[in-house]
Amino acid sequence: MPKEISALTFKREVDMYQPLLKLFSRFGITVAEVPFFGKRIDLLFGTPSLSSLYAVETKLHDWRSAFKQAALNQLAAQRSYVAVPSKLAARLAEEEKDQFRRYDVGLIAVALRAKILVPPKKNGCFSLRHHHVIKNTLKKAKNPKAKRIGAIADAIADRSQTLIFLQTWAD
Amino acid sequence: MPLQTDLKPLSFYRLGPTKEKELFKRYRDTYYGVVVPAHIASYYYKFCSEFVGSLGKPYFIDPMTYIFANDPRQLKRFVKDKDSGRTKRDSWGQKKKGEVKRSYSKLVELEYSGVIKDAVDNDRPLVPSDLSDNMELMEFVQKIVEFQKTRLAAIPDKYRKYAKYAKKADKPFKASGNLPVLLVAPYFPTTTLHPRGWHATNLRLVEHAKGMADGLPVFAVILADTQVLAEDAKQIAQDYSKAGADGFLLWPDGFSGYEEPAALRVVFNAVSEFGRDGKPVILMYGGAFSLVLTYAGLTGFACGICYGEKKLSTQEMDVEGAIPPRYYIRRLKKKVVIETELRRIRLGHYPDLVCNCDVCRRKPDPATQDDIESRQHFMLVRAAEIEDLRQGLTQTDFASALDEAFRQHRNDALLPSVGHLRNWAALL
Repeated sequence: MPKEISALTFKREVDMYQPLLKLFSRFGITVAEVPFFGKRIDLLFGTPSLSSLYAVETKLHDWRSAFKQAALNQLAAQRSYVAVPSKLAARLAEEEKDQFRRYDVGLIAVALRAKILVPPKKNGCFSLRHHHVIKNTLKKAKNPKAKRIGAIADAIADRSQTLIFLQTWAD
Repeated sequence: MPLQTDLKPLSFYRLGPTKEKELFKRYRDTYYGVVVPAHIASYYYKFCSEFVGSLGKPYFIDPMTYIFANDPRQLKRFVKDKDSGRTKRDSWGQKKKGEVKRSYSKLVELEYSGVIKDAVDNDRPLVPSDLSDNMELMEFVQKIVEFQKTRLAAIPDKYRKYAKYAKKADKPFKASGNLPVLLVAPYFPTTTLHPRGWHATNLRLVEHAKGMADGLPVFAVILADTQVLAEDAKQIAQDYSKAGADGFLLWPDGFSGYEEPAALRVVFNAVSEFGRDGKPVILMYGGAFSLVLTYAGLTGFACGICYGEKKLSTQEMDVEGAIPPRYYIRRLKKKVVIETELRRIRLGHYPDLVCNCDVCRRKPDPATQDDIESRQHFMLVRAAEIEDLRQGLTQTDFASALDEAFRQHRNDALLPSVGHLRNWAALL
Protein backbone atom coordinates (compact mmCIF):
# COMPACT_ATOMS: atom_id res chain seq x y z
CA MET A 1 0.00 0.00 0.00
CA PRO A 2 1.46 3.43 -0.86
CA LYS A 3 2.75 5.34 2.15
CA GLU A 4 0.51 8.40 1.67
CA ILE A 5 -2.57 6.16 1.73
CA SER A 6 -1.63 4.09 4.74
CA ALA A 7 -0.71 7.25 6.66
CA LEU A 8 -4.15 8.79 6.08
CA THR A 9 -5.85 9.57 9.39
CA PHE A 10 -9.58 9.78 9.93
CA LYS A 11 -11.15 12.04 12.51
CA ARG A 12 -14.56 10.36 12.59
CA GLU A 13 -15.81 6.90 11.70
CA VAL A 14 -18.14 8.43 9.14
CA ASP A 15 -15.11 9.74 7.26
CA MET A 16 -14.33 6.13 6.38
CA TYR A 17 -17.72 5.60 4.75
CA GLN A 18 -16.96 6.87 1.26
CA PRO A 19 -14.26 4.30 0.47
CA LEU A 20 -16.54 1.63 1.95
CA LEU A 21 -19.46 2.69 -0.25
CA LYS A 22 -17.18 2.38 -3.22
CA LEU A 23 -15.99 -1.06 -2.14
CA PHE A 24 -19.56 -2.33 -1.98
CA SER A 25 -20.87 -0.30 -4.91
CA ARG A 26 -22.29 -3.42 -6.56
CA PHE A 27 -25.05 -3.55 -3.96
CA GLY A 28 -28.29 -1.79 -4.76
CA ILE A 29 -29.10 -0.58 -1.28
CA THR A 30 -26.89 1.05 1.34
CA VAL A 31 -28.24 2.03 4.74
CA ALA A 32 -26.47 3.59 7.71
CA GLU A 33 -27.45 3.44 11.39
CA VAL A 34 -29.76 0.44 11.16
CA PRO A 35 -31.49 -0.29 14.50
CA PHE A 36 -30.97 -3.85 15.66
CA PHE A 37 -32.26 -4.89 19.10
CA GLY A 38 -31.19 -1.77 20.92
CA LYS A 39 -27.93 -1.32 18.99
CA ARG A 40 -27.22 0.00 15.53
CA ILE A 41 -25.45 -1.50 12.56
CA ASP A 42 -23.12 1.16 11.12
CA LEU A 43 -23.49 0.21 7.47
CA LEU A 44 -25.66 -2.37 5.79
CA PHE A 45 -25.37 -3.24 2.12
CA GLY A 46 -28.14 -5.19 0.48
CA THR A 47 -29.37 -6.48 -2.82
CA PRO A 48 -32.58 -4.78 -4.03
CA SER A 49 -34.63 -7.78 -2.85
CA LEU A 50 -32.81 -7.59 0.52
CA SER A 51 -32.23 -11.33 0.35
CA SER A 52 -28.50 -10.80 0.74
CA LEU A 53 -27.18 -8.43 3.44
CA TYR A 54 -23.60 -7.48 4.31
CA ALA A 55 -22.95 -5.58 7.57
CA VAL A 56 -19.97 -3.35 8.28
CA GLU A 57 -18.96 -2.08 11.70
CA THR A 58 -16.51 0.82 11.67
CA LYS A 59 -14.12 1.91 14.40
CA LEU A 60 -11.11 4.20 14.48
CA HIS A 61 -9.34 2.56 17.42
CA ASP A 62 -11.39 0.20 19.59
CA TRP A 63 -11.49 -2.73 17.19
CA ARG A 64 -12.53 -5.20 19.91
CA SER A 65 -15.89 -3.50 20.43
CA ALA A 66 -16.36 -3.37 16.65
CA PHE A 67 -15.60 -7.08 16.54
CA LYS A 68 -18.22 -7.87 19.18
CA GLN A 69 -20.82 -5.85 17.27
CA ALA A 70 -19.78 -7.49 13.98
CA ALA A 71 -20.29 -10.86 15.63
CA LEU A 72 -23.82 -9.83 16.60
CA ASN A 73 -24.49 -8.57 13.09
CA GLN A 74 -23.83 -12.11 11.88
CA LEU A 75 -27.24 -13.05 13.21
CA ALA A 76 -28.93 -10.91 10.57
CA ALA A 77 -26.43 -10.51 7.74
CA GLN A 78 -24.86 -13.22 5.66
CA ARG A 79 -21.48 -11.54 5.87
CA SER A 80 -20.14 -9.26 8.55
CA TYR A 81 -17.04 -7.05 8.54
CA VAL A 82 -15.00 -4.83 10.81
CA ALA A 83 -13.60 -1.78 9.01
CA VAL A 84 -10.71 0.14 10.57
CA PRO A 85 -8.04 2.55 9.31
CA SER A 86 -5.45 0.79 7.19
CA LYS A 87 -2.61 1.06 9.67
CA LEU A 88 -4.58 -0.65 12.41
CA ALA A 89 -6.00 -3.13 9.90
CA ALA A 90 -2.51 -4.14 8.81
CA ARG A 91 -1.57 -4.88 12.41
CA LEU A 92 -4.78 -6.84 13.00
CA ALA A 93 -4.28 -8.86 9.82
CA GLU A 94 -0.93 -9.87 11.17
CA GLU A 95 -1.66 -10.42 14.83
CA GLU A 96 -5.36 -11.24 15.04
CA LYS A 97 -6.07 -12.97 11.75
CA ASP A 98 -6.91 -16.24 13.51
CA GLN A 99 -9.60 -14.61 15.57
CA PHE A 100 -11.23 -13.05 12.51
CA ARG A 101 -11.13 -16.40 10.73
CA ARG A 102 -12.33 -18.40 13.72
CA TYR A 103 -15.46 -16.29 14.01
CA ASP A 104 -15.95 -15.73 10.26
CA VAL A 105 -15.71 -11.96 10.62
CA GLY A 106 -14.17 -10.02 7.74
CA LEU A 107 -11.56 -7.30 8.09
CA ILE A 108 -11.41 -4.22 5.89
CA ALA A 109 -8.57 -1.74 5.71
CA VAL A 110 -9.73 1.79 4.96
CA ALA A 111 -7.59 4.56 3.52
CA LEU A 112 -8.38 6.54 0.38
CA ARG A 113 -9.62 3.20 -0.85
CA ALA A 114 -11.03 0.31 1.15
CA LYS A 115 -9.64 -3.17 0.80
CA ILE A 116 -10.75 -6.50 2.23
CA LEU A 117 -7.79 -8.00 4.10
CA VAL A 118 -9.61 -10.96 5.64
CA PRO A 119 -12.62 -12.14 3.65
CA PRO A 120 -15.44 -13.47 5.83
CA LYS A 121 -17.15 -16.76 5.26
CA LYS A 122 -20.88 -17.18 5.37
CA ASN A 123 -21.25 -17.57 9.09
CA GLY A 124 -22.92 -20.33 11.05
CA CYS A 125 -24.83 -17.97 13.31
CA PHE A 126 -27.05 -16.55 10.61
CA SER A 127 -30.66 -16.68 11.73
CA LEU A 128 -33.54 -16.22 9.33
CA ARG A 129 -35.64 -14.73 12.10
CA HIS A 130 -33.11 -11.96 12.77
CA HIS A 131 -32.64 -11.48 9.05
CA HIS A 132 -36.37 -10.90 8.68
CA VAL A 133 -36.36 -8.41 11.54
CA ILE A 134 -33.81 -6.30 9.66
CA LYS A 135 -35.59 -6.76 6.33
CA ASN A 136 -38.85 -5.60 7.88
CA THR A 137 -37.14 -2.63 9.49
CA LEU A 138 -35.74 -1.60 6.11
CA LYS A 139 -39.05 -2.16 4.34
CA LYS A 140 -40.93 -0.06 6.90
CA ALA A 141 -38.53 2.86 6.51
CA LYS A 142 -40.63 5.92 5.84
CA ASN A 143 -38.38 7.99 3.65
CA PRO A 144 -35.99 5.73 1.78
CA LYS A 145 -34.75 8.40 -0.62
CA ALA A 146 -31.00 7.88 -0.83
CA LYS A 147 -28.87 10.81 0.32
CA ARG A 148 -25.30 11.75 -0.52
CA ILE A 149 -22.91 10.81 2.24
CA GLY A 150 -21.47 14.33 2.33
CA ALA A 151 -24.88 15.81 3.07
CA ILE A 152 -25.67 13.51 5.95
CA ALA A 153 -22.26 12.81 7.46
CA ASP A 154 -22.83 15.00 10.52
CA ALA A 155 -26.14 13.29 11.34
CA ILE A 156 -24.40 9.92 11.14
CA ALA A 157 -21.50 11.14 13.27
CA ASP A 158 -23.72 12.47 16.05
CA ARG A 159 -26.09 9.49 15.74
CA SER A 160 -29.14 11.73 15.62
CA GLN A 161 -30.91 9.70 12.93
CA THR A 162 -31.53 6.07 12.16
CA LEU A 163 -32.10 4.26 8.88
CA ILE A 164 -30.26 6.66 6.61
CA PHE A 165 -30.37 5.47 3.02
CA LEU A 166 -27.19 6.45 1.23
CA GLN A 167 -26.45 6.92 -2.43
CA THR A 168 -24.28 4.10 -3.64
CA TRP A 169 -20.92 5.40 -4.74
CA ALA A 170 -20.60 6.10 -8.43
CA ASP A 171 -17.53 7.47 -10.17
CA MET B 1 -41.48 -1.15 60.63
CA PRO B 2 -38.07 0.50 61.03
CA LEU B 3 -35.36 0.19 58.40
CA GLN B 4 -33.25 -2.89 59.15
CA THR B 5 -29.85 -1.28 58.74
CA ASP B 6 -28.09 -4.34 60.17
CA LEU B 7 -29.03 -6.28 57.01
CA LYS B 8 -26.71 -4.44 54.64
CA PRO B 9 -27.09 -4.10 51.73
CA LEU B 10 -30.87 -3.70 51.57
CA SER B 11 -32.29 -4.19 48.13
CA PHE B 12 -35.34 -2.24 47.01
CA TYR B 13 -37.16 -2.77 43.73
CA ARG B 14 -38.87 0.12 42.09
CA LEU B 15 -42.44 -0.52 41.05
CA GLY B 16 -42.66 0.14 37.34
CA PRO B 17 -45.53 0.40 34.94
CA THR B 18 -44.90 -3.08 33.55
CA LYS B 19 -46.65 -6.23 34.68
CA GLU B 20 -44.41 -7.11 37.57
CA LYS B 21 -46.89 -7.85 40.32
CA GLU B 22 -46.38 -11.61 40.14
CA LEU B 23 -42.61 -11.25 40.23
CA PHE B 24 -42.81 -9.09 43.32
CA LYS B 25 -45.09 -11.59 45.04
CA ARG B 26 -43.56 -14.85 43.96
CA TYR B 27 -40.01 -13.77 44.72
CA ARG B 28 -40.77 -11.72 47.79
CA ASP B 29 -37.90 -13.31 49.71
CA THR B 30 -35.29 -12.04 47.27
CA TYR B 31 -35.52 -8.36 48.16
CA TYR B 32 -36.06 -6.09 51.12
CA GLY B 33 -38.58 -3.49 50.04
CA VAL B 34 -40.40 -1.57 47.33
CA VAL B 35 -40.11 1.98 46.02
CA VAL B 36 -43.30 3.42 44.57
CA PRO B 37 -42.95 6.56 42.44
CA ALA B 38 -45.50 9.19 43.49
CA HIS B 39 -47.20 9.48 40.10
CA ILE B 40 -47.79 5.72 40.06
CA ALA B 41 -48.97 5.74 43.69
CA SER B 42 -51.41 8.48 42.75
CA TYR B 43 -52.67 7.25 39.39
CA TYR B 44 -52.93 3.56 40.33
CA TYR B 45 -53.54 4.09 44.02
CA LYS B 46 -56.06 1.25 44.40
CA PHE B 47 -53.69 -1.20 42.81
CA CYS B 48 -50.66 0.17 44.67
CA SER B 49 -52.25 0.22 48.10
CA GLU B 50 -53.59 -3.30 47.69
CA PHE B 51 -50.20 -4.33 46.33
CA VAL B 52 -48.01 -2.93 49.11
CA GLY B 53 -50.61 -3.96 51.68
CA SER B 54 -50.70 -7.58 50.61
CA LEU B 55 -46.96 -7.77 50.02
CA GLY B 56 -46.20 -6.99 53.65
CA LYS B 57 -42.80 -5.56 52.76
CA PRO B 58 -41.28 -2.20 53.70
CA TYR B 59 -42.00 0.46 51.12
CA PHE B 60 -41.51 4.15 50.54
CA ILE B 61 -42.83 6.65 48.04
CA ASP B 62 -40.49 8.68 45.84
CA PRO B 63 -42.21 12.08 45.64
CA MET B 64 -40.65 12.76 42.20
CA THR B 65 -40.65 16.51 42.86
CA TYR B 66 -37.43 17.07 40.86
CA ILE B 67 -39.35 16.56 37.65
CA PHE B 68 -41.20 19.85 38.13
CA ALA B 69 -37.92 21.79 38.08
CA ASN B 70 -37.10 20.37 34.65
CA ASP B 71 -38.24 21.49 31.21
CA PRO B 72 -42.06 21.15 31.34
CA ARG B 73 -41.96 19.25 28.03
CA GLN B 74 -40.60 16.33 30.04
CA LEU B 75 -43.98 15.90 31.71
CA LYS B 76 -45.80 15.62 28.42
CA ARG B 77 -46.56 12.59 26.37
CA PHE B 78 -45.87 12.07 22.71
CA VAL B 79 -48.72 12.67 20.25
CA LYS B 80 -49.65 9.50 18.38
CA ASP B 81 -51.22 9.19 14.99
CA LYS B 82 -54.57 7.47 15.56
CA ASP B 83 -54.37 5.33 12.42
CA SER B 84 -50.77 4.16 12.42
CA GLY B 85 -50.10 4.42 16.15
CA ARG B 86 -46.80 6.12 15.36
CA THR B 87 -45.56 9.25 17.07
CA LYS B 88 -46.25 12.39 15.06
CA ARG B 89 -43.31 14.58 14.10
CA ASP B 90 -43.05 18.29 13.44
CA SER B 91 -41.53 19.87 10.34
CA TRP B 92 -38.05 19.51 11.89
CA GLY B 93 -38.53 15.80 12.33
CA GLN B 94 -38.79 16.13 16.12
CA LYS B 95 -41.37 14.04 17.95
CA LYS B 96 -44.45 16.08 18.84
CA LYS B 97 -45.46 16.49 22.47
CA GLY B 98 -49.03 16.94 23.61
CA GLU B 99 -50.74 17.07 27.01
CA VAL B 100 -49.19 16.43 30.41
CA LYS B 101 -49.08 12.69 31.07
CA ARG B 102 -52.21 11.61 32.89
CA SER B 103 -50.34 10.15 35.87
CA TYR B 104 -48.54 13.44 36.50
CA SER B 105 -51.63 15.44 35.76
CA LYS B 106 -53.49 13.60 38.50
CA LEU B 107 -50.60 14.00 40.92
CA VAL B 108 -50.50 17.75 40.27
CA GLU B 109 -54.25 18.35 40.30
CA LEU B 110 -55.32 16.18 43.19
CA GLU B 111 -52.29 15.78 45.39
CA TYR B 112 -49.58 18.42 45.10
CA SER B 113 -51.50 21.42 43.68
CA GLY B 114 -50.27 24.85 44.96
CA VAL B 115 -46.98 26.13 43.53
CA ILE B 116 -46.47 23.02 41.42
CA LYS B 117 -49.86 23.34 39.78
CA ASP B 118 -49.17 26.98 39.14
CA ALA B 119 -45.88 26.18 37.40
CA VAL B 120 -47.37 23.34 35.34
CA ASP B 121 -50.41 25.42 34.34
CA ASN B 122 -48.08 28.15 33.15
CA ASP B 123 -45.91 25.64 31.28
CA ARG B 124 -42.75 26.63 33.14
CA PRO B 125 -40.32 24.86 35.45
CA LEU B 126 -40.54 25.37 39.18
CA VAL B 127 -37.72 27.65 40.44
CA PRO B 128 -36.36 28.14 43.98
CA SER B 129 -38.01 31.55 44.30
CA ASP B 130 -41.43 29.82 44.00
CA LEU B 131 -40.73 28.44 47.47
CA SER B 132 -39.14 31.50 49.04
CA ASP B 133 -42.27 32.30 51.03
CA ASN B 134 -42.22 30.23 54.21
CA MET B 135 -45.97 29.65 54.31
CA GLU B 136 -46.02 28.46 50.75
CA LEU B 137 -43.07 26.17 51.38
CA MET B 138 -44.73 24.69 54.46
CA GLU B 139 -47.94 24.06 52.56
CA PHE B 140 -45.93 22.41 49.79
CA VAL B 141 -44.08 20.13 52.23
CA GLN B 142 -47.26 19.34 54.12
CA LYS B 143 -49.01 18.05 50.99
CA ILE B 144 -46.09 15.92 49.91
CA VAL B 145 -45.46 14.45 53.33
CA GLU B 146 -49.17 13.76 53.90
CA PHE B 147 -49.38 12.09 50.51
CA GLN B 148 -46.58 9.70 51.45
CA LYS B 149 -48.00 8.98 54.89
CA THR B 150 -51.54 8.31 53.80
CA ARG B 151 -51.79 7.39 50.13
CA LEU B 152 -50.87 3.73 50.45
CA ALA B 153 -51.34 3.32 54.18
CA ALA B 154 -54.88 1.96 53.98
CA ILE B 155 -56.10 -0.56 51.46
CA PRO B 156 -59.23 0.30 49.44
CA ASP B 157 -62.54 -0.80 50.99
CA LYS B 158 -63.27 -3.33 48.29
CA TYR B 159 -60.23 -5.38 49.29
CA ARG B 160 -61.11 -5.54 52.99
CA LYS B 161 -63.33 -8.53 52.36
CA TYR B 162 -60.17 -10.57 51.82
CA ALA B 163 -59.15 -10.14 55.44
CA LYS B 164 -60.98 -13.33 56.46
CA TYR B 165 -59.14 -15.37 53.82
CA ALA B 166 -55.81 -13.98 54.95
CA LYS B 167 -56.71 -14.88 58.50
CA LYS B 168 -57.60 -18.43 57.46
CA ALA B 169 -54.29 -18.78 55.67
CA ASP B 170 -52.49 -17.29 58.66
CA LYS B 171 -51.14 -14.46 56.50
CA PRO B 172 -50.76 -10.84 57.69
CA PHE B 173 -53.48 -8.47 56.54
CA LYS B 174 -53.24 -4.80 57.37
CA ALA B 175 -56.35 -2.84 56.48
CA SER B 176 -54.80 0.37 57.73
CA GLY B 177 -51.65 1.73 59.25
CA ASN B 178 -49.35 0.31 56.60
CA LEU B 179 -46.98 3.24 56.88
CA PRO B 180 -43.94 3.71 54.66
CA VAL B 181 -40.60 2.71 56.13
CA LEU B 182 -39.31 6.24 55.58
CA LEU B 183 -40.45 9.59 54.28
CA VAL B 184 -38.64 11.30 51.45
CA ALA B 185 -38.38 15.07 51.77
CA PRO B 186 -39.35 16.91 48.57
CA TYR B 187 -36.19 17.38 46.52
CA PHE B 188 -34.71 19.17 43.57
CA PRO B 189 -31.35 18.83 41.80
CA THR B 190 -28.31 20.29 43.50
CA THR B 191 -26.20 21.90 40.79
CA THR B 192 -24.53 24.49 43.01
CA LEU B 193 -24.40 25.41 46.68
CA HIS B 194 -25.18 29.03 45.84
CA PRO B 195 -27.73 30.42 48.33
CA ARG B 196 -30.22 31.12 45.54
CA GLY B 197 -29.93 27.63 44.05
CA TRP B 198 -31.97 24.58 44.95
CA HIS B 199 -29.58 23.39 47.66
CA ALA B 200 -30.68 26.01 50.19
CA THR B 201 -34.33 25.27 49.41
CA ASN B 202 -33.75 21.52 49.69
CA LEU B 203 -32.39 22.04 53.21
CA ARG B 204 -35.49 23.98 54.24
CA LEU B 205 -37.67 21.27 52.74
CA VAL B 206 -35.93 18.66 54.89
CA GLU B 207 -36.25 20.79 58.03
CA HIS B 208 -39.98 21.25 57.54
CA ALA B 209 -40.56 17.63 56.52
CA LYS B 210 -38.86 16.56 59.73
CA GLY B 211 -41.35 18.61 61.71
CA MET B 212 -44.30 16.90 60.04
CA ALA B 213 -43.03 13.32 60.03
CA ASP B 214 -44.78 12.06 63.18
CA GLY B 215 -41.78 10.01 64.13
CA LEU B 216 -41.09 8.47 60.73
CA PRO B 217 -37.50 8.86 59.55
CA VAL B 218 -37.04 11.61 56.96
CA PHE B 219 -34.54 10.97 54.20
CA ALA B 220 -32.99 13.65 52.05
CA VAL B 221 -32.40 12.95 48.37
CA ILE B 222 -29.01 14.13 47.13
CA LEU B 223 -29.56 14.54 43.40
CA ALA B 224 -26.29 15.85 42.03
CA ASP B 225 -23.87 14.91 39.29
CA THR B 226 -20.45 13.49 40.06
CA GLN B 227 -18.75 16.84 39.53
CA VAL B 228 -20.82 18.46 42.30
CA LEU B 229 -20.30 15.42 44.52
CA ALA B 230 -16.55 15.52 43.91
CA GLU B 231 -16.36 19.14 45.01
CA ASP B 232 -19.06 19.50 47.62
CA ALA B 233 -20.10 16.12 49.08
CA LYS B 234 -18.65 16.96 52.49
CA GLN B 235 -20.41 20.32 52.70
CA ILE B 236 -23.70 18.87 51.44
CA ALA B 237 -23.56 16.06 54.02
CA GLN B 238 -22.88 18.53 56.84
CA ASP B 239 -25.70 20.83 55.71
CA TYR B 240 -28.24 18.02 55.60
CA SER B 241 -27.16 16.66 58.95
CA LYS B 242 -27.77 20.10 60.43
CA ALA B 243 -31.16 20.18 58.71
CA GLY B 244 -32.04 17.00 60.59
CA ALA B 245 -32.07 14.38 57.83
CA ASP B 246 -32.25 10.87 59.30
CA GLY B 247 -30.67 9.30 56.22
CA PHE B 248 -29.80 9.87 52.60
CA LEU B 249 -31.05 8.70 49.25
CA LEU B 250 -28.09 9.32 47.01
CA TRP B 251 -28.76 9.88 43.32
CA PRO B 252 -25.58 10.62 41.38
CA ASP B 253 -27.27 12.05 38.31
CA GLY B 254 -26.88 9.80 35.26
CA PHE B 255 -24.16 7.75 36.94
CA SER B 256 -23.64 4.06 36.32
CA GLY B 257 -21.06 1.68 37.72
CA TYR B 258 -19.63 1.17 34.25
CA GLU B 259 -18.08 4.64 34.14
CA GLU B 260 -14.44 5.67 34.35
CA PRO B 261 -12.49 5.04 37.59
CA ALA B 262 -12.52 8.73 38.58
CA ALA B 263 -16.34 8.84 38.61
CA LEU B 264 -16.50 5.54 40.54
CA ARG B 265 -14.13 6.96 43.13
CA VAL B 266 -16.27 10.08 43.54
CA VAL B 267 -19.38 8.04 44.27
CA PHE B 268 -17.47 5.65 46.55
CA ASN B 269 -16.16 8.62 48.54
CA ALA B 270 -19.57 10.31 48.57
CA VAL B 271 -21.21 7.21 50.08
CA SER B 272 -18.49 7.15 52.68
CA GLU B 273 -18.98 10.86 53.42
CA PHE B 274 -22.77 10.72 53.74
CA GLY B 275 -22.57 7.65 55.97
CA ARG B 276 -19.88 9.15 58.21
CA ASP B 277 -22.26 9.82 61.14
CA GLY B 278 -23.75 6.35 60.90
CA LYS B 279 -26.78 7.58 58.96
CA PRO B 280 -28.16 5.15 56.37
CA VAL B 281 -27.29 5.86 52.74
CA ILE B 282 -29.40 4.28 50.00
CA LEU B 283 -28.56 4.60 46.33
CA MET B 284 -31.69 5.75 44.50
CA TYR B 285 -30.77 3.98 41.25
CA GLY B 286 -28.07 1.37 41.61
CA GLY B 287 -26.81 -1.76 39.90
CA ALA B 288 -24.12 -4.31 40.68
CA PHE B 289 -21.68 -1.54 41.57
CA SER B 290 -23.80 -1.02 44.68
CA LEU B 291 -22.34 -4.29 45.96
CA VAL B 292 -18.92 -2.64 45.82
CA LEU B 293 -20.31 0.48 47.50
CA THR B 294 -21.42 -1.64 50.45
CA TYR B 295 -17.76 -1.60 51.48
CA ALA B 296 -17.92 2.20 51.52
CA GLY B 297 -20.84 1.97 53.92
CA LEU B 298 -23.83 1.87 51.56
CA THR B 299 -26.95 0.71 53.39
CA GLY B 300 -29.01 -0.25 50.37
CA PHE B 301 -29.91 0.44 46.79
CA ALA B 302 -32.94 0.56 44.55
CA CYS B 303 -33.56 -0.33 40.92
CA GLY B 304 -36.21 -1.82 38.69
CA ILE B 305 -36.32 -5.59 38.24
CA CYS B 306 -33.47 -6.03 35.75
CA TYR B 307 -33.64 -2.42 34.54
CA GLY B 308 -33.41 1.14 35.85
CA GLU B 309 -30.00 0.84 37.48
CA LYS B 310 -29.08 4.37 36.50
CA LYS B 311 -31.08 7.46 35.68
CA LEU B 312 -30.44 10.89 34.32
CA SER B 313 -32.85 13.32 35.97
CA THR B 314 -33.46 15.15 32.70
CA GLN B 315 -34.07 12.04 30.61
CA GLU B 316 -37.26 11.74 28.57
CA MET B 317 -40.04 10.25 30.69
CA ASP B 318 -42.23 9.06 27.84
CA VAL B 319 -40.02 6.25 26.63
CA GLU B 320 -41.07 4.59 23.41
CA GLY B 321 -40.40 0.96 22.67
CA ALA B 322 -39.79 -1.82 25.16
CA ILE B 323 -36.38 -2.61 26.64
CA PRO B 324 -35.21 -5.84 25.01
CA PRO B 325 -35.09 -8.67 27.59
CA ARG B 326 -31.64 -8.96 29.11
CA TYR B 327 -29.86 -11.66 31.04
CA TYR B 328 -27.61 -10.87 33.99
CA ILE B 329 -24.27 -12.70 34.04
CA ARG B 330 -23.36 -12.91 37.68
CA ARG B 331 -19.60 -13.34 37.35
CA LEU B 332 -19.25 -10.50 34.84
CA LYS B 333 -21.70 -8.26 36.74
CA LYS B 334 -23.24 -7.26 33.47
CA LYS B 335 -26.42 -7.79 31.47
CA VAL B 336 -26.54 -8.94 27.87
CA VAL B 337 -29.40 -8.75 25.39
CA ILE B 338 -30.91 -12.21 25.12
CA GLU B 339 -32.14 -11.90 21.56
CA THR B 340 -28.73 -10.99 20.13
CA GLU B 341 -25.73 -11.16 22.45
CA LEU B 342 -26.76 -14.31 24.28
CA ARG B 343 -27.64 -16.13 21.07
CA ARG B 344 -24.24 -15.26 19.66
CA ILE B 345 -22.14 -15.81 22.80
CA ARG B 346 -23.49 -19.27 23.67
CA LEU B 347 -22.93 -19.09 27.38
CA GLY B 348 -22.64 -22.85 27.72
CA HIS B 349 -19.15 -22.54 26.22
CA TYR B 350 -18.05 -20.68 29.37
CA PRO B 351 -18.50 -23.08 32.32
CA ASP B 352 -17.65 -20.39 34.90
CA LEU B 353 -20.48 -18.19 33.63
CA VAL B 354 -23.20 -20.82 33.77
CA CYS B 355 -25.77 -20.04 36.45
CA ASN B 356 -27.36 -22.63 38.71
CA CYS B 357 -30.33 -20.66 39.97
CA ASP B 358 -33.74 -22.35 39.85
CA VAL B 359 -34.71 -20.66 36.61
CA CYS B 360 -31.45 -21.55 34.84
CA ARG B 361 -31.64 -25.13 36.05
CA ARG B 362 -35.08 -25.35 34.51
CA LYS B 363 -33.93 -23.66 31.30
CA PRO B 364 -30.21 -24.36 30.96
CA ASP B 365 -29.83 -22.36 27.75
CA PRO B 366 -30.44 -18.79 28.89
CA ALA B 367 -30.85 -17.70 25.27
CA THR B 368 -34.26 -19.37 25.40
CA GLN B 369 -35.43 -17.47 28.49
CA ASP B 370 -38.22 -14.98 28.06
CA ASP B 371 -38.51 -11.58 29.68
CA ILE B 372 -40.18 -12.87 32.83
CA GLU B 373 -37.75 -15.75 33.28
CA SER B 374 -34.71 -13.51 32.85
CA ARG B 375 -36.11 -11.20 35.51
CA GLN B 376 -36.75 -14.10 37.84
CA HIS B 377 -33.16 -15.15 37.29
CA PHE B 378 -32.04 -11.59 38.03
CA MET B 379 -33.93 -11.49 41.32
CA LEU B 380 -32.52 -14.83 42.44
CA VAL B 381 -28.96 -13.99 41.46
CA ARG B 382 -29.02 -10.51 42.98
CA ALA B 383 -30.35 -12.00 46.21
CA ALA B 384 -27.50 -14.53 46.21
CA GLU B 385 -24.94 -11.76 45.63
CA ILE B 386 -26.38 -9.80 48.53
CA GLU B 387 -26.40 -12.87 50.73
CA ASP B 388 -22.67 -13.34 50.05
CA LEU B 389 -22.02 -9.87 51.41
CA ARG B 390 -24.27 -10.39 54.41
CA GLN B 391 -22.44 -13.61 55.18
CA GLY B 392 -19.22 -11.65 55.50
CA LEU B 393 -17.53 -11.79 52.10
CA THR B 394 -14.40 -9.77 52.76
CA GLN B 395 -13.42 -6.75 50.71
CA THR B 396 -10.23 -8.54 49.64
CA ASP B 397 -12.03 -11.69 48.55
CA PHE B 398 -14.60 -9.70 46.61
CA ALA B 399 -11.84 -7.70 44.90
CA SER B 400 -9.98 -10.92 44.04
CA ALA B 401 -13.09 -12.47 42.51
CA LEU B 402 -13.70 -9.39 40.36
CA ASP B 403 -10.08 -9.23 39.29
CA GLU B 404 -9.96 -12.93 38.46
CA ALA B 405 -13.07 -12.68 36.28
CA PHE B 406 -11.54 -9.68 34.53
CA ARG B 407 -8.28 -11.47 33.79
CA GLN B 408 -10.06 -14.54 32.54
CA HIS B 409 -12.37 -12.77 30.12
CA ARG B 410 -10.79 -9.43 29.23
CA ASN B 411 -9.70 -10.52 25.76
CA ASP B 412 -12.67 -12.64 24.87
CA ALA B 413 -13.90 -11.92 21.37
CA LEU B 414 -17.62 -12.16 22.05
CA LEU B 415 -18.30 -11.38 25.70
CA PRO B 416 -19.19 -7.80 26.62
CA SER B 417 -16.29 -5.67 27.80
CA VAL B 418 -15.33 -6.36 31.40
CA GLY B 419 -13.09 -3.37 32.18
CA HIS B 420 -15.47 -2.38 34.97
CA LEU B 421 -14.43 -5.46 36.97
CA ARG B 422 -10.84 -4.23 37.10
CA ASN B 423 -12.00 -0.73 38.04
CA TRP B 424 -14.23 -2.03 40.81
CA ALA B 425 -11.50 -4.31 42.17
CA ALA B 426 -9.11 -1.35 42.23
CA LEU B 427 -11.53 0.58 44.46
CA LEU B 428 -11.66 -2.16 47.07
